[in-house]
Amino acid sequence: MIDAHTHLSPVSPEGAELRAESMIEKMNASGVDAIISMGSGGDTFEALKRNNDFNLQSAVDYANRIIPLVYFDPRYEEDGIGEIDRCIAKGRFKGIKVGHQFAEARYMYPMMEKAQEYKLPVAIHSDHSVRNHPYIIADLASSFPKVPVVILHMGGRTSAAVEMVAIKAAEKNQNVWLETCFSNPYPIRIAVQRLGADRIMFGSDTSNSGFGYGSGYEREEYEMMIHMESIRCLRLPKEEEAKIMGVNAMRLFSLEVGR
Amino acid sequence: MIVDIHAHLGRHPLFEFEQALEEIIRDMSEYGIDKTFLHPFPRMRFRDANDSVASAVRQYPNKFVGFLCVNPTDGEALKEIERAVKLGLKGLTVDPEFYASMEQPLTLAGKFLSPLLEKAVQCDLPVLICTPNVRVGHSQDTALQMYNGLDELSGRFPEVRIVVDLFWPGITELGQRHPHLYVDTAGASAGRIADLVSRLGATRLLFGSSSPRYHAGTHKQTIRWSRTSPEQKAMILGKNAERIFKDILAL
Repeated sequence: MIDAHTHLSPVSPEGAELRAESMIEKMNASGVDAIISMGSGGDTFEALKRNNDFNLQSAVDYANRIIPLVYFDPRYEEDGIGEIDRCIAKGRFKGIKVGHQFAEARYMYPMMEKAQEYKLPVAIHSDHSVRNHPYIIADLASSFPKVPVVILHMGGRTSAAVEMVAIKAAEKNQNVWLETCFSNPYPIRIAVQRLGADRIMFGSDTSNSGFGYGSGYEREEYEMMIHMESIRCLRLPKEEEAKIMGVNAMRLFSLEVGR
Repeated sequence: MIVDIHAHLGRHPLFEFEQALEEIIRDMSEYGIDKTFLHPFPRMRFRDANDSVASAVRQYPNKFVGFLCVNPTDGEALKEIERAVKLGLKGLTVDPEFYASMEQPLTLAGKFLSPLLEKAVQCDLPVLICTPNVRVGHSQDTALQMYNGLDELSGRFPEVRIVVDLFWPGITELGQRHPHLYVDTAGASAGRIADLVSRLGATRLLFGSSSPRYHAGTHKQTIRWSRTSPEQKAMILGKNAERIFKDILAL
């Protein structure tokens, strides 16, 4: 089982030093073999670089269990593009992640060119806002049909209409994939009916900081498990469920994973 | 008793949501839900929608409590409430978003809803007001209109049990101002539930799935796994509904 959407950060929002162990503990408790780690952004370019390095070191420490993506922030323009080169040169990174509020930024295009050059998938946060809306991501993806683009959250949770746009984006663009965390079972079922199960991946948005959504659960691993429930409650055929819960992520990110 | 106070039967006329009675029954059985409040999706031909809910309740009286819907701008709305109550429906569902998209503007504080609430008082019906599906991305003006509208309506009808979901703008403050306002937790994360328990108290929260938009089983699990006490979970999952809706649950 692969969780296709998680975050590792070297520091908590309060400034405390963090490690990857807490994520491994959650994975063990919830039965997750490997995670795609989006890393984390930063308030400064230096912080972004430090976070990418932490993400890489975590993947070295837990080979085959933590699969890192390079965190790209288009606000850093050429420096951000250079950071992709720096990280890819170190090996292990399996894709590029773009966070909140940037999907329409000018430097998304140079980033996509880099992804095409390195043959890497790109995972982009989505929501209802005009800056992260699935139709913005679909527009970007249609300009780079060779680059797999993952719509994180598949437009998720906040508006039913937006989730349907994410599904439509994947229908129209064969390079668009959907990741399910904070979407809901009903639109996920619609996505499976319309697209088949080959471009849909389970994710949880779990972090090692316990910050945000994770803080509302009695036990930390529940954050991962509640998103698994969103897939399992669909009662899909075993083969389709297995694809969503890990097989597709292995294929997209070219992985050999497991404990 | 575990009570889901918000599940929709049938097909939404605008969005792609659809849920058959058999699916609701299967989820209730699989996830241990004893009672479900069945709501129609909004329809211009609301009599048909109400008949479907009434039929389901007649078929499974131990599983379901039926709510009715009307188009507030329709001249037959009040008569339909009376007819549906005679059919055995026990509450009123209002979906301002759907009818706002029709010919006449509909706001909570406007002229159309007050007569419905007056009728709810007469018939002792609780009222569930749906939050717009496209609520996010709305302007500050819209949020303020929603806040003010519910504030005014709740103040004008203190005897009506009003249920809205926790995405309603300013819900904590509105809940503190109006003790007869209850909060449907549909769609909430565990963190949101825990936060609202700490700020408003567990006695005001209700387990509602708003299925098929959200899923009854996963939402029940979210409440069970939330950082709340066993007593608070029990209240949200059913004890509050038993207390607040004792009459319509025939307890």
